[in-house]
Amino acid sequence: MERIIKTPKLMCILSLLLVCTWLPRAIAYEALILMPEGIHFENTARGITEDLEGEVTFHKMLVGNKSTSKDISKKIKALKPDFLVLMGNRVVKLYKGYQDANPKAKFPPSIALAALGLDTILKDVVNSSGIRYEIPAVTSLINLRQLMKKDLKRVGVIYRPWMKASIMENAALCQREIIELVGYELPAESKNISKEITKGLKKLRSSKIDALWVVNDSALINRKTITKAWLPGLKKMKVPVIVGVEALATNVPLGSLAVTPDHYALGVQAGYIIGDLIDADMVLESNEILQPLSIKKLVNITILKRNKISYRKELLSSFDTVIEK
Amino acid sequence: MRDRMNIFCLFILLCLAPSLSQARTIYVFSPLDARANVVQDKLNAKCSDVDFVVFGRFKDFEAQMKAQPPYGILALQPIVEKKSDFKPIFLGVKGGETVETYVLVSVDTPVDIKKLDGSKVGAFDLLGRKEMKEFISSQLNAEVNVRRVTKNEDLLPLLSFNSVESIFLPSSLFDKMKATTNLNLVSTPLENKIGLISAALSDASPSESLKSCISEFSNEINNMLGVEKWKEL
Repeated sequence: MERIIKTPKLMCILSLLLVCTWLPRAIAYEALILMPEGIHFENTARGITEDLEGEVTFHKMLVGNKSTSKDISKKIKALKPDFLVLMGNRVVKLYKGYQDANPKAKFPPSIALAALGLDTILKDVVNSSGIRYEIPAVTSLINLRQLMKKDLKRVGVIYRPWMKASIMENAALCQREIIELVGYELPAESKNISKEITKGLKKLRSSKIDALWVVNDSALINRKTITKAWLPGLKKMKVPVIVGVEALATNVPLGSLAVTPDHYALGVQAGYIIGDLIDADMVLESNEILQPLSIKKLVNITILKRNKISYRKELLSSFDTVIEK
Repeated sequence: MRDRMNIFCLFILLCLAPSLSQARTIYVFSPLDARANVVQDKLNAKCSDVDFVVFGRFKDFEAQMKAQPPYGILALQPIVEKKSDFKPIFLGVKGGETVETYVLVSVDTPVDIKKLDGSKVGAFDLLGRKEMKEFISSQLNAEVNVRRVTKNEDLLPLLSFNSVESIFLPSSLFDKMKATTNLNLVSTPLENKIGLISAALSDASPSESLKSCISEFSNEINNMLGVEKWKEL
């Protein structure tokens, strides 16, 4: 008789244990965010964590210049996260190093953000997806077209050969908006890049472009090229210039419109991928690298006025920053 | 006796302090084309006896609602309905109605509203991840995956980059969106109507000055808030 009573008790205890081990999983997944220090990374992390509050427990690991793949490995082994968020180029590189050093390990899904050239650097990372950091030209151009009183038909861009694939992709996206991206490819090797940029600007001027899109490439945009090529060349070309760094429209009188990533919204967008992961019980259904959706917009009215470019004043309220001196 | 009086006055002041500070703030959260700080400046220039705080993001609004509950809120009716501590006193009116119809916007081909299960729908984030999924799914009578954005202007990129099959949009904004793009946007009307922005207060008897302030918002402010005028309840 005693045995009969004990068995249901045992069953109850076992069931309770089972529920207890299952319950935390149902409430929250564990995630590890690997990120460098910096306000932009912080904002991105805030976008992710606030959006998924209550559903995912996030742990952060700051990755500095001295961090190694081994440090990441230790953290992952200790925490055993359900998925990872990788931020910044160095983090992606170190995580790739961790995967290479542990070929037999089972890697949880990872989402890469706020890193340049994700298509290339994420190619060999197993079980990974991400969102590009570079703002597509079409996003910037739609905003510029709305602001300007004139239609945008042809937009010039100067680029180095390694960017060709990205420029082609951008051109295809622009084409859907009936904007032609007129590219000028610089030679693969040049002793005087400023001279080549000047040549490119001259060529684009003769192509009668309506605006110029300046890509983020440190070899193209630096103190030397700005003073020797961009600023003198643009004096002869009174078209709006879109840049991807705010300083190039504030500290340097180059860009009339600066379009940069909205880091918080980038985090919220990463939440889409994470939400899908949760719904699919941590199975990453696509390795697709998404385009970023949200931007921060700065317009320098002084530069627009100086170049006699008319704009719709009523749209200035949709800009995050309006510079007018 | 004087000491007792002083203590009593201090007690009354301490009791009143929270309600005095609370009486000053109205939180605003609604999909806006203009940046939150611009709308906030316009509202605060119009009404002198309350402080308006405008939120661009649901999470910020929600966090502040919990941390420091306001005297009132200006928000779309689905949000107001969830805040039982606030009683609506004004409803926004557009085209003679306090509600508006919505459409599903897609590229080239209209959406088949009978085949929405599992499809990806973009929408402005009014309620957070879980509640938005429930809200949009109930509006569409289908289990959909919702892609939320924190700014109205981010809805178009969702379509441009094929991140969603359609976006959920007030029908009044369709032409405006169509004017910004050369994509062949098409709209599929939905039957349900959703309430426009309304003003709700924690106090059942607001001051006359506050009432006149809201009812006399300038056209510019009303336009930013997506209404033409206000109807007192």
